[in-house]
Amino acid sequence: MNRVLPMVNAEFLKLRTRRGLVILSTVLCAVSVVLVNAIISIYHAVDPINNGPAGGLHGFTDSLDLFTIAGGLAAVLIGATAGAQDVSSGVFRSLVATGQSRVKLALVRIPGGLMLLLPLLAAGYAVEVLASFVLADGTPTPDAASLLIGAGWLLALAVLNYTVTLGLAALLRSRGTAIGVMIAWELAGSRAIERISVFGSWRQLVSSFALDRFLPGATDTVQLSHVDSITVTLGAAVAVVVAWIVVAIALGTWRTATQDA
Amino acid sequence: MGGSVTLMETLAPDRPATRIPADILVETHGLTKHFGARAAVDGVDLRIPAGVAFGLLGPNGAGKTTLIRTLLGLTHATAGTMQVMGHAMPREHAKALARVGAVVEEPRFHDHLTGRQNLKIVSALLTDEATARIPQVLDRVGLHARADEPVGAYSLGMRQRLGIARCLLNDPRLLILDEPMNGLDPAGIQEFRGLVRSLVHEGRTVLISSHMLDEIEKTCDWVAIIDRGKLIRQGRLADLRDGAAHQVLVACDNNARAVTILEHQEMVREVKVDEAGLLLCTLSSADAAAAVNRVLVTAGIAVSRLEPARVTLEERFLDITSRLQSAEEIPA
Repeated sequence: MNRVLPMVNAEFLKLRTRRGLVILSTVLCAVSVVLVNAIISIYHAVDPINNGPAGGLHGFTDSLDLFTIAGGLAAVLIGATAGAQDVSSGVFRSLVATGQSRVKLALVRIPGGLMLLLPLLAAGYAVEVLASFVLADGTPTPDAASLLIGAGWLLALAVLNYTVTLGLAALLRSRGTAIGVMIAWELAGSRAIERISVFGSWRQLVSSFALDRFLPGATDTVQLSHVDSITVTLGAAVAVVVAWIVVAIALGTWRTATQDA
Repeated sequence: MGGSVTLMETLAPDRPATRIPADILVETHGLTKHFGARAAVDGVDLRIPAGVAFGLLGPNGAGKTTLIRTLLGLTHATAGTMQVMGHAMPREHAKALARVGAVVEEPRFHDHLTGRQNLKIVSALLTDEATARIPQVLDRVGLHARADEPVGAYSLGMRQRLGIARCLLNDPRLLILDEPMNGLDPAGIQEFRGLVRSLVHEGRTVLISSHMLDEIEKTCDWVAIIDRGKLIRQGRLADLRDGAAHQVLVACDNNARAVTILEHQEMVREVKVDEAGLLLCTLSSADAAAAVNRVLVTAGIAVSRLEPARVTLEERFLDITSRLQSAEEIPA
């Protein structure tokens, strides 16, 4: 039963018809970019000496922080919904009863959710790129390499957050718990580990450090405090991100394949 | 299975072996499912023939739903083997379930999607033909006009019908419906009964699990009784009723004298007066009815009516389960 394409489309249908999820994700991925640029532009127009322009290279680099929070949260919301919606709605058993492979049921959620998330992030990024040129007000603008690296970083951020939350939600069989765990990890867990210097170079396994290595202008040295730093090579960063994705998907797929329906 | 065979033989030693048609869609041997130390399904040997409405009957908690979930591969069996549509489950689950439709417990859907979209979700897992069949199955269950409304706004009856529509997407040979009449009003139940019969008429097999004896009796032609995880009896409904004690109802002009006379007859095991004022005689054999009539008439008692007492499935079910309980209570 090679039904991968229809199954991916079905996953996309389940997600794109959730009005609240789509509106919130759109606000986080794209509307927030418009709003932040509008507010900074107003401040810049009122007091250009103390407030820089919204655009330009500086504005573009700052905007990536916004994507880390807002885009990352959108990825978490969509991932958690995609990972748990069949079980929480009670439909999972009907899907299993068709005789379709459980592994396939788990894996088609990956492209199905990314079909919703990536266009929203691409729209937000397009707005930011446009703003970085239109609202530069004579300051230097990002070059093509920065834009490409920024796009690659955003893609890694989206895929990492989405797949890790997807796997977690499938493992825990709960959307709310998965969102809570991800937020707790980002806000408290990873930051606590960052401060425990005794962990030394093991801290490069924290996904957010690995992800930051892909940012435009990033180097192998990650400065954690005045006296504390770790080295994260590009190769190590790629390996860490891939490992997080693979482990999360494997756990979610294992749970989907073995749980009672 | 050893346990259930022994019980069946103990309960009905004079009962002929059930005739099983050649085309068996579901066959289990010693199927067992444990939850911890508790056996929810205990050594079940089930055979479901093709082209019948098959009732899986038992009280709440008897193990019906667990048996169905095990058959469908929704949960793993602890022991035993099973074949669905001639394929071993769960090893060949894709082939086994390709022409099976099932609603387990209450039908559940994505409430934010329309009825049509919910069917599309499932048909995506099946075939292109299944997707093309969506309008047809919606029409069949009478949901065509409401198909584009969110399922969250559906009544329970509409959800039941949409559940059956979902079952029909893959043009199933076997439909498995778990407690399908729960929550339906009398008109809905009657409509459902008609739908089941029409499906059987098309050559499909419909397995209905229920604790509602009356509905199983009205809807099904084969039945299996399950209690505390064990399969107590399976066979044709008519055969099951025939397995009951031979009883006749007698109307006569002197009940007191008739009881005194019949109590001393060898072919009469028990005689009592029922609520309607008729004599209910339990006989040693079916052909003893004529002898009862002869004895009463010879004694000068006018017999105005003599007919076989119809045994309902409910009476038979209670008879079987109470005898089972008594058998289990006998100390070893």
